[in-house]
Amino acid sequence: MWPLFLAWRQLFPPGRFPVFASVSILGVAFGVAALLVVQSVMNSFGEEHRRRVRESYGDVVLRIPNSTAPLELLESPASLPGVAAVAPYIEGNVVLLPDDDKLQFLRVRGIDPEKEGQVTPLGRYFASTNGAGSLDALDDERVIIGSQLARTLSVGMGDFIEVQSVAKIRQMFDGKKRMPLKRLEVCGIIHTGFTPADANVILITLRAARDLFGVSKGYAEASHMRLVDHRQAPAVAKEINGNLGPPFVALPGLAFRAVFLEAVEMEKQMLFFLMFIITLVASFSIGSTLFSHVVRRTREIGLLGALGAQSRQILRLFLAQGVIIGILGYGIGTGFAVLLLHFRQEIVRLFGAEETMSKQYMFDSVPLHYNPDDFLKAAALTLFLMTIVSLLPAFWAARRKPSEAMRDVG
Amino acid sequence: MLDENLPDGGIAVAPPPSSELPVLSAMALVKSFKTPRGALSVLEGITLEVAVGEFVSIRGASGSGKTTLLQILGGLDQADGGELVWNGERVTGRDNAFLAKLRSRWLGYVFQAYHLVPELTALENVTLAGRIAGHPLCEITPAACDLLERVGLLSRAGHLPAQLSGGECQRVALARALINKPRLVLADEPTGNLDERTGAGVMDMLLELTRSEGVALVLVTHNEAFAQRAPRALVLANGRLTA
Repeated sequence: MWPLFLAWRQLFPPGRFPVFASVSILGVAFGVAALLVVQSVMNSFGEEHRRRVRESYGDVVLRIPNSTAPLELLESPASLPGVAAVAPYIEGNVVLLPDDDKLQFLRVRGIDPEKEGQVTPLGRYFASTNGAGSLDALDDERVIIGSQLARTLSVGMGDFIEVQSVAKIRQMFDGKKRMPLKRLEVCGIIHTGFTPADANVILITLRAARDLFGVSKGYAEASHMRLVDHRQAPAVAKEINGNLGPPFVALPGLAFRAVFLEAVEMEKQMLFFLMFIITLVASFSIGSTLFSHVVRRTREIGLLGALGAQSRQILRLFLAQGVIIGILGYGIGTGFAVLLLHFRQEIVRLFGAEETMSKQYMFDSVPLHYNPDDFLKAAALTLFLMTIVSLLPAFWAARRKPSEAMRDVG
Repeated sequence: MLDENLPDGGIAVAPPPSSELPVLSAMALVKSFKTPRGALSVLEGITLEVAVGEFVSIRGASGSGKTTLLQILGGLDQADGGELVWNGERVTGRDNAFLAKLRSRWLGYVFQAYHLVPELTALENVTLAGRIAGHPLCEITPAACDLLERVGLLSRAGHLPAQLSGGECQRVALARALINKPRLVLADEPTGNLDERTGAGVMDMLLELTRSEGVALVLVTHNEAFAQRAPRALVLANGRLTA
């Protein structure tokens, strides 16, 4: 145990400020903090995107491509173990005519208000800062819209919007009968903090959607479901496909944004690689400082040899110094990272990057999801690098002959 | 005592008669260093035997090879030729791990420059030598306190070397040299960095401690007065030991 004791004392000499240890530990700490902040932020973006996609699409989606299907079949997975709730829906493109006469093309979703709330957490978003109304208020003459869309259209609770399906407008152009616009009263505004949803969501009832898109009674375009454990989505989708067979297709909700989610994951990996290179360079810089520290202690290496210390004990002495620097650097770096992440929103604001955040990452605030794997990976990387960079000076010290080491200092 | 029969013409000084094995036997040690001008011979057939509890001094001019001889006798350096035996154990040609193990048990060192670890207190410097020899801290600490008391530094056990005078540092080094109850202490100019009065005090202490512990002492010095206090005072000149 004496090498560990001496290693600690040499790093933190009593009565003196530990310059070498402080500089080295801070070097590691900054590297670890940078790595953890980048990984945690990227992980948070990925996790948040996945959560929002699941909330938008459901854990599993069941449909017949380019067709509608009877409700009893679309809702049949409700009996499967692991499926918590199923809700049918109809989606289609509409033209929206605001007061300023500028046409907008949007995608509207017709939902069953009673069942939808069991699959997606819509209720939560009415209660948020910019939200208003409730799901219960939705009926065939009313509409729920996203907060950003409400701002764009300059409408609020109780205001009216007019929409018509693209298909019916095409029929009108084809010379068929005139299709009046459907007038809907805004009965709810949801704010999710997720730009695509807040800027585009228009929710109407399933019956109103059938009218707009010409879908028969008892039919819907698709159903989506919430699972007890969302990680079981691929297995449940496979089971549904097995039970219903073609033309039905069941897919995990995440599959609908797979390319985007993969890009986010790839971005995280690339940033990890870049941070790894930076940490590697920093580690070798610390290794070089450690080497000079060891060389300055040549006299003591000779003394330890004269007192009977074995080469492997001298190796352990200097290896322990590198490992202590790594452990303390990791601990302090983790503290820095948690602190920076706690004030992430203030930091984004300080750099005036809120708009970029909303545009590029589609969130109006920086999400935060700690992933234990990121912390374990950073710990392993730090200890591995510090051990590697300590090995060279430690071997150099261990191989010194006591007589040579003592002669070096005259 | 000159041994005319030695093949290399070296000098051997016989120890006092004893039934015990000598703590140190060096036979025909040879050492040279490479220099740009060729090999520089430093030791040319040194033969020396030190008995249990014996005090031997080796005097010589600067650069005569005193420190080199001491390092070879202590196993810190290898001779180019000859044989070295500690307590009947042949150590010539043995690996460093083996030598280090024996060194920690059988030998104590006192250096001119004290060589205390600056980050450790006086007590910790003494106990470090014991811990290196494999003694548990709880076992070695009372012994270290006892030695510090004998060198008059128990009250300064918690002081760092920087807070001690040169003489005090050397007294800590004496305690460190004796903590493992060695059979032989090798002292390399232990008073070289001290003024005359302090040096004399340290010298008295060294002799008293080694005598009371029954430890043999090989003292290398250029101080003639200190050298003459040894029952066997040898001189190293031209690579050879003479009485």
